[in-house]
Amino acid sequence: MNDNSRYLDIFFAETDEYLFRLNECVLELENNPEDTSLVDEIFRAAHTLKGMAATMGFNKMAELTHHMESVFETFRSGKSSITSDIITLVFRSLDKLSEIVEDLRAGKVLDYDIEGLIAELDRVAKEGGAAEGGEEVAKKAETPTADLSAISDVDLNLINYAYEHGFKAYAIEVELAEDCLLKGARAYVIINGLEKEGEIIQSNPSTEVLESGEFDNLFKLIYISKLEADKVQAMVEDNLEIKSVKVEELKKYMDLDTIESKEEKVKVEEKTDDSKPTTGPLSSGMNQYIRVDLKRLDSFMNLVSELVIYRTRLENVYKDIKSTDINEPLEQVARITTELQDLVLKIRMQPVNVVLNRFPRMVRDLSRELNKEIELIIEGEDTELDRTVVSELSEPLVHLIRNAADHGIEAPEVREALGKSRKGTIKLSAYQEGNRVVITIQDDGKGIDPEAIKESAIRKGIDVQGLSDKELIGLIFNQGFSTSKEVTNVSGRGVGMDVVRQKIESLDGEIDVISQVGKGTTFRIKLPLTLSIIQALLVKVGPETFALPLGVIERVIKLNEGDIISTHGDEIYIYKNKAIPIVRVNEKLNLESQDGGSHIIIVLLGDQYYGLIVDELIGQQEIVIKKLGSVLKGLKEYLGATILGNGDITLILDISNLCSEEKEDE
Amino acid sequence: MSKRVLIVDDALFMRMKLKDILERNGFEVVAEAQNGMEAVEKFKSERPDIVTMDITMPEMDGIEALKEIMKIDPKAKIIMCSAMGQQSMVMDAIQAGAIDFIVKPFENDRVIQSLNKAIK
Repeated sequence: MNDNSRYLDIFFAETDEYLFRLNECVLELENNPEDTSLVDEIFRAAHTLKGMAATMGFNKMAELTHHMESVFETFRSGKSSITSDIITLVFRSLDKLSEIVEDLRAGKVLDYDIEGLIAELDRVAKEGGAAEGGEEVAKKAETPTADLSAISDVDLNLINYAYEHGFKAYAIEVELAEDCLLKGARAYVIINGLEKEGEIIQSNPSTEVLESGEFDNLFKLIYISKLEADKVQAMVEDNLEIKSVKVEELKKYMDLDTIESKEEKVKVEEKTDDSKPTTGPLSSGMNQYIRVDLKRLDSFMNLVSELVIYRTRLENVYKDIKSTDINEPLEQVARITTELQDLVLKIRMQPVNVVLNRFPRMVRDLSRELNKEIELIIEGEDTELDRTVVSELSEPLVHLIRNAADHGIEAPEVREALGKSRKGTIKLSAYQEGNRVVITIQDDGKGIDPEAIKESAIRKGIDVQGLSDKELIGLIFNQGFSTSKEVTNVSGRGVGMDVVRQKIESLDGEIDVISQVGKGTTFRIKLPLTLSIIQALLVKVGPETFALPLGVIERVIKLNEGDIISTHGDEIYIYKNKAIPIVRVNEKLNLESQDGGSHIIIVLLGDQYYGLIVDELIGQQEIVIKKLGSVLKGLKEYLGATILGNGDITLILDISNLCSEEKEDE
Repeated sequence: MSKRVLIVDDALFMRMKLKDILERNGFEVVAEAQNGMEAVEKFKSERPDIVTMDITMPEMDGIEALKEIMKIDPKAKIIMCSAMGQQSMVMDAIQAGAIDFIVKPFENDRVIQSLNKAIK
């Protein structure tokens, strides 16, 4: 028990949880005394608590829990009826237990007067006929292990015969660890081991049941062997996943037929599995947290990025010299760097559903408040984002959804008149795209009318000369701008969209809006991931090499010029029986292309496919994204740059920008 | 003399993990094999003191490999590595001569306990 102090935190965290559960369950039990699963849970919780307390050396706590457990045992066996008096007693005990735990937490080890409580508990337990003492507890001698009445005459004869021939008979009780996964197999290994040195003449439950694993963690054996008791004990204890082993020689009972003598020679050995304090509590679903300065994580991330760059360089060197001596360690380095990356990313990540899961309720309330019928569809809630970003995301999303419900979706009657379904839809989707996460809020409502914005802008004295529809709609992100004719409770006070934009920008993100009158509005938020290392496809366009984030690439198809169909000056390609827009990367970037491209790269952005045409495929590679400096920041076509294994610098294409410009042109 | 171990598992990750645990506890990992066939070959050439044997593997599974190895050396000490839900296979393996089994995910202490028991 020397170094238990470092488990204290886990111990207390878990103890709190069990105590809470116990209180809850006991309360429930009072209203629901017939619920055996509840009783089981109470029993297990008490049992675990007892074990934990004993392991930590908190004897008073272990003692009290032990006596409570005895009472619970009588519940379980159905011998005690659960009266409100008993429940009150249990609650008093739980209170005492909490008190002890609180003092322990404060570092005080006091001498509690728990005798009175214990006496009461014991009285209840006794009335219920529970064996006093119940199961194993620190320093307490046990009741005998083998129930002799279960031994048949034949077995008795066998035992006697064994003794006549220099064998010994033992009753063995084995309790497997609670987290033992394959109980049947474990029991089988133990039995197998024993049978090498002797014979098992009886087992309870039967060996068939044991092998099926359909038993509680406890089983008993009658075993005949020439080995001494301590050898037998050691042999069984040697096995994994064992909580306790009791071995008792049976000779006594053969000589004296009084059952009382059982008390005399009892060997109890509680095996304190050293791994228990660490693995036990941790594996039982409790996580521990520490706070770490984000800056440290950032520099960790940077170091990992550097590592990746050098690894890629090493891989290039390897390609030249082809030494197998290098290959193997290099593969290991590759694996470890990948794991490191994953790790550092995961440390920072949190799924967006932390924020999204409150929206279904909100939309239901909104639709009631606004007398509209609205369905909310959420997609990609597993998408992960940096946790600092996730926590900041709630406010802008709430605003956008309120807007969509209030201004976007029309009243059911209006929708019907327009030939739309009565029920409006708000679709919230999140997906990862390269090193960013895109969140879209899409409604199928009335859309934003550029003319209305124009009027509103002119009224506010804003110069709208020469602004395109898109630019006009973009005005909603300005301060004090609201197109709503009336102010409702929900939204429309003209504070909001600018705040939303500010918030998103403060997270290093972008927001834009696409809207079509009568069809609906889509807000698209792009947020940076901390993910600065991504898998990329390297391609050539004209003379230049570019990297495309692999995450959005759906397929790469060899291009036959005839596959591309021109309609109204736009080019489309038929993919999965759908016409998808074609983006000629060289045209977008004003580069010369030799022969009109060789491959179509099908990318999926949200739910829309695009086909990107490139000249040549180079290969897949892991790249580290380096941000473009402030001077080049305005270049919308690129996500950033990266250093390749050979030291060359390559730009990373911003696919969604390339493609969304395509959309605007339409 | 540290005991010599052959690790058999089709997943590189599991082999790494196990190797790490073993080496930190004074065992020497003399060879690794990623399927039963390789395991038998490596057993022949390396003659390890202990073999840790995954059950589900391509080419030749752990039970087959176990049987083959037992033919070569009936005293071979083989510990099966199993996942949950492979109870009957573990029992087959024990019947066929495996001395113990450990359950994934591996807990360091249990792995070591099992190996120590094996070399006793």
